[in-house]
Amino acid sequence: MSRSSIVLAPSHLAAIQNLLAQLGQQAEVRCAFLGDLSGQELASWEDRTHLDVASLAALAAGDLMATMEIAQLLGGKRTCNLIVQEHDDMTILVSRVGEGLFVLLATARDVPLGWSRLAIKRLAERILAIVGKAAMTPPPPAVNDDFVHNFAARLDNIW
Amino acid sequence: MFINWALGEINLKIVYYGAALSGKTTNLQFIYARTPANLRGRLISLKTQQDRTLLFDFLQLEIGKVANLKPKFKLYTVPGQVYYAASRRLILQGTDGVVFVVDSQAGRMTENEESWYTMEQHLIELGHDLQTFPIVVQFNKRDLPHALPVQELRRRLPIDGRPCFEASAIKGHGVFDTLKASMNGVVAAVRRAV
Repeated sequence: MSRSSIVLAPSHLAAIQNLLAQLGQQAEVRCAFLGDLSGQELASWEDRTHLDVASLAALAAGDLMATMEIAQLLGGKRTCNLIVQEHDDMTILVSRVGEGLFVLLATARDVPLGWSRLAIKRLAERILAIVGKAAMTPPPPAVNDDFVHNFAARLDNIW
Repeated sequence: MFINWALGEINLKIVYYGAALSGKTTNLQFIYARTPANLRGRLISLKTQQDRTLLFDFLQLEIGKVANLKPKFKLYTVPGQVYYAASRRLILQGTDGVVFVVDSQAGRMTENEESWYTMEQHLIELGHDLQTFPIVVQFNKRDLPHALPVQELRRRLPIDGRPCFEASAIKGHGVFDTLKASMNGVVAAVRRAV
């Protein structure tokens, strides 16, 4: 397995952000976000502020990875594409996007499950189309020697 | 690593790896307790009823703005028990650096050695070059009476030229020296990569 590295230009991230926000306008969506399987949050939309997206991304990635591993140990041949959790007041869906990403969608309980499944499937396809193009863009060299030096000094100031 | 150029964020992942009960979670608990609240997120622990790490512990640290970038570090621990090998491999995915926590007690060397070799195996499977991948070693539990001499620990583990720190995580000694060395090592590796 090769090491994954994601390079998304601001325009790509904005396009993904728009897709997530559009979903929020179509139904009662609590939150929608894109992360990678190492637990990094990449883009998010939420109906209220102060959601701990960093923790959510770590936990959702762990959940999806663990479910994939369970399936593999049980002899599953197909890649796990979707996890559905039905709670009293909401439904949470986590879907893979390509090989290394996932998208999480939390909808109110009265949003039909069929709609949520279809919505996350289409969202994953649209995100994949954007990410597929983005992967070819090389990153600008922002992490230079100055950054390395200033970073070390900053750490010494904190601890 | 994920760099969000729109927000000027660079997101990096460090995994604390080591044998069961070597003190990985204790490191994160001390870091959480001694880091200003505005620079850290919640400490999330997925534990068994016996208080052992089941899947991982997670803590996000923010360093503030450095040269127009905002570095954010996601710290993870892996479960140490032998039977959680699958979980450890999953958590190592996408990591930018590893802190290997050694239990210094004389009776724990077999577990330390086994843990080191499984870590190397997982990192190779994930496509990392062990020669250049940033691994920092922490010799933990130096305060215990049956701690082996550091020279003996170095002899038993293939540490080579990696940065090493003596620590007593429960007292906080060496915890931040280890963390800072790992963070600096990860940033230096990113510098080389880009």
